[in-house]
Amino acid sequence: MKAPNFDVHADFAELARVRTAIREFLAADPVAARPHADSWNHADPEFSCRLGRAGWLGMTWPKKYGGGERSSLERYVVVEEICAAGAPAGAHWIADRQSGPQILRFGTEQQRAEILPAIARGECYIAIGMSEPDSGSDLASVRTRATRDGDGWVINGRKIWTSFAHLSQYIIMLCRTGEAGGRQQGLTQFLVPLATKGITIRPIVSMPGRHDFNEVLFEDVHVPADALLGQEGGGWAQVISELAFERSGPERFLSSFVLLEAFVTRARRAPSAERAALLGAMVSRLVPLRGMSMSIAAQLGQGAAPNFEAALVKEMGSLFEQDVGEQLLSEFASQADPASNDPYQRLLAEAMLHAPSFSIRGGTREILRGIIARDLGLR
Amino acid sequence: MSDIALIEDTTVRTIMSGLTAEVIESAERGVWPAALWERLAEQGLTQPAAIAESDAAAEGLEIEAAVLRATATTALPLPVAETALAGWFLARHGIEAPAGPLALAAFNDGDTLTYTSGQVTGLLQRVPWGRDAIAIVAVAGDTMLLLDAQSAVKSAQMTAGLNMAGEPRDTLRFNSAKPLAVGGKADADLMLCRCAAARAVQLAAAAARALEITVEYATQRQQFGRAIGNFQAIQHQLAAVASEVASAQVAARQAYLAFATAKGEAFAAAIAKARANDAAGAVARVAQQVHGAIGYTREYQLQRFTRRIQSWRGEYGASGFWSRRLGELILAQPDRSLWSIITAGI
Repeated sequence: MKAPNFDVHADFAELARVRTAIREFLAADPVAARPHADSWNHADPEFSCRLGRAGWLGMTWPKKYGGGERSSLERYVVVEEICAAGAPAGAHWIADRQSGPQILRFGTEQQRAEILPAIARGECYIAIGMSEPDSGSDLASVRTRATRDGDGWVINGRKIWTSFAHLSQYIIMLCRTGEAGGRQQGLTQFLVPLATKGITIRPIVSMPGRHDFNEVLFEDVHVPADALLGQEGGGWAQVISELAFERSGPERFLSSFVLLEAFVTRARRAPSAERAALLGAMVSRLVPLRGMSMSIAAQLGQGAAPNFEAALVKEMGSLFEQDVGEQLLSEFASQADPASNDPYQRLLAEAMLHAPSFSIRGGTREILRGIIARDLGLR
Repeated sequence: MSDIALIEDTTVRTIMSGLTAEVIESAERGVWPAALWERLAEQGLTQPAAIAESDAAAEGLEIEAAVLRATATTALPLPVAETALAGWFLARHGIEAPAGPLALAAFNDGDTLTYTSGQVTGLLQRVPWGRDAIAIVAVAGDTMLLLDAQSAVKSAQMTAGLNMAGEPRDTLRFNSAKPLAVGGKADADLMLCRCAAARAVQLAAAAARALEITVEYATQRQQFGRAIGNFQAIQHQLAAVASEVASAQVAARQAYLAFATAKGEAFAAAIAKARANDAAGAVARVAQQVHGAIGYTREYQLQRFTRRIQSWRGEYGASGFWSRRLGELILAQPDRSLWSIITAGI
């Protein structure tokens, strides 16, 4: 049996300066007045621009691409502070977390020079084009096809659950480009401007009544040769390399944190042994999870690919996020109200209504457990 | 291999070389495994902090945790953890630890120990290895005491008890007894936290071993023409508890780090014990289920870990106790957000 490695740890105490700075920034920003559960899925482009202007986006990237050349641990602190504050970070989230690094790693010089500074300014957003109507957990079955057309490509197909495509300028999409070999071969990533002719974006309203998702249709979409991102046929490996970044961050266990914070405020006004026990039970799960996630951040900073460890964090993190609402619903019962001006009532409703998505997005619980089982040596 | 991993590995080897089926069986019947104890004591493993090359608290604690993990992954039926903890408390009070097995009070609500005019009177309940220890570290009021265990045992002032793993948990009565040593002012609450953190280390290690045994079994046991580990129903149960093990291990390490830096000990110990209790419980449940009937026999090894996990979950504070303590610690700081408490470590 392979044992996960959480022995690497970074000294986060040395990051106190960046923590104080982002905390002060967030406290002074207008969004502080209205925190959200699952806030990294609430888009507010103006907030993203303010973050970018203050230097909190593209933090680890080279300065020549508008980045801050800060450490990945400094970025971790900023990201966890944004989640803990419930600030609406959805517009830039994907671009800052994974598309930017992906372009930095696989993109052409022109792609980097054009797009990265705009992401770092908080003005450019990128959607993920992975899932399709018939390809969810079975991602390798994608059918959207890119066919060579002279120097360029023609894309036909459809992508779904595409968060904030309606606000984004680009989509990074996984397309089938070849027939040869297994299902995971012949896949290629493309970086496509969403304004390209032939692309239609249709809203999908989520259970909480929000328009975050979209379906994106591609009908004879002509793109130039340089829309290709990375290697032709290398799409699967590129997608996999994003996952450790995608699965282990603070957003994988802090989506309901603002509710827990609101619960503390309430419980201090009317403390009881039951409320203390409920709070303690949640915090005793959260703190070790954060320790695991920070260890992964330190390992990622050293260039390791702790995918097994990331799967463990996501497995446990999504259960925790879902349980916060579930457990707190038992206290101050029947007060969940999405329209309430009372933050506790509103956040309880948000956390409960967003909860089903926590163990689906970024790899379902079942997929994650399959990955863990494989690393344990069971498959 | 790091020095710490080497110490853990060496301790496991030393234990395994002496932990025969016969030793395990006779220990269950209450026979003290003297030869094995001597072997561990000779190598200094019963006072692990003394192995440290520096005086730094952090190094001694890291070594102690490595030795405790080794005792838990082997289900060693000896009070190494108790002796190590007792030695640590004694050292902080400037008392030289007597050579031999030491016990610690269980810090039970039912303890009634008083210390007046140089004499100790009252009950200590469910003392780990009370019958075998030469001395017991306990607290009366806020005074730390080193008590003579054997004279209480010899004067028939002991009621023998066991935990579910068959480890001695004895109740001792003291009547105007003279302590072996008096250590001065002690913080019983901090001592309880320290013991809870140690049990958390043991729980996490026992849970990790139970998971390892179970994964191995699932890859070997064939049913319906294939290894049962091929079934998703089995895979998903084991995957779910793999994350429980990892989080208990991380929580236990965080608690030892808190003691090493003398910062936020109560906060970290509460988290570690609550987490380890719950995680190990979940692991034991799945480990037993995946093993089927063979896991429910005395002959097969899993029971040694399950019984220790189920016993240790209740010792030095069950989850309900620590969750409430943790919640109260947080609620008692009205000027601070939960997030600022978490990021600061208290």
